[in-house]
Amino acid sequence: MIIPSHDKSRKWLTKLNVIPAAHVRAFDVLQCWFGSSHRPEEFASDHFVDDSVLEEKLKSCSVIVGLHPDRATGSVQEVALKYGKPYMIVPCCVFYREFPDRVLANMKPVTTCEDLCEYLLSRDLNSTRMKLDFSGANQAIVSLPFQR
Amino acid sequence: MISGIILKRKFYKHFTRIGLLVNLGEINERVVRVSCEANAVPRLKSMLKIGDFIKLKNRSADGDNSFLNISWDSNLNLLLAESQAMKLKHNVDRKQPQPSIPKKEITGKQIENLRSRSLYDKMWGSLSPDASSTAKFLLAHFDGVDFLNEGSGVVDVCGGKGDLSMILAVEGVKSTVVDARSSAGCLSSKHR
Repeated sequence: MIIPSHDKSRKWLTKLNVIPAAHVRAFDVLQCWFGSSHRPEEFASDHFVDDSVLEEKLKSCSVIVGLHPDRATGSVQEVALKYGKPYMIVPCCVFYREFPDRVLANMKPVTTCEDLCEYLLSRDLNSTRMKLDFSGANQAIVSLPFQR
Repeated sequence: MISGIILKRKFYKHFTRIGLLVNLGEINERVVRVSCEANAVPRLKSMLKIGDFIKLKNRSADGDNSFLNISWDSNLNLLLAESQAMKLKHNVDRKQPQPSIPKKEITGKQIENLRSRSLYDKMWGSLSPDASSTAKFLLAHFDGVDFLNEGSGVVDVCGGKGDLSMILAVEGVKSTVVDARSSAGCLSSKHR
């Protein structure tokens, strides 16, 4: 696990008296590439953690959340289905040139965010679509724990 | 016996009845009709203050839950004494020192105590609205904090700076930011 030296996320929690101990972190950070999709050169890094670390984390987690996950949108759903975990995806960018294999039931390529939502819904029949209360890309594809 | 706190005095036209808007624990506002002698009305007006604790003796016989009747003639002094005692007890409870928080543990109760703090509100407000509403959604639809904390907690894919994970952490939920960028988990300066 890589802990950035300048990370001071615990400061708020210390201020709020939630965590008095200074060495406790608010949340863990794993710097790695998520999913099996094509990795651009800008993300080719030697600092990434082992895939086994991420795999263990995914096996034991409760929910997988992807809030505007860019290229990882499809991977979040694939991984969640692979490990049988409930998930929540709020898709934003489509990257249709990078994912030409994404096609809807009517053979129309996925080019808009609306298409992407439908594509994700069609891949998992247990998932539902919900709307969050903020402006912009606010459509969430959710698979709740009782649906799994 | 039901205890409540007076929110607002609301005097009816009929001089022997006094209406009070009372907060009764779970129920937010109830109108309580108080019967009293005519000469006690000015005393009541001067003595019953908003925020006073009162005790209600019995419910109305007609079965209407929105009205709770108490008789208020000779027992006035007793009742006021009780209200004063409740008020004192309330003040004493408030002044008691808070129990020390165990290290390395975040519990739901501690978080609940923090909800009223202005600093907490400030943090919620300053984080991005999409992260805060997603956190609200997660807490509401995924069976609460206990379910989210199962195993290694929530995995926040492409969590970026960690806004969502920060909110979840304050709510007492374990989370992990997974991101390819070198700035993964580095909150903006105002949130550190």
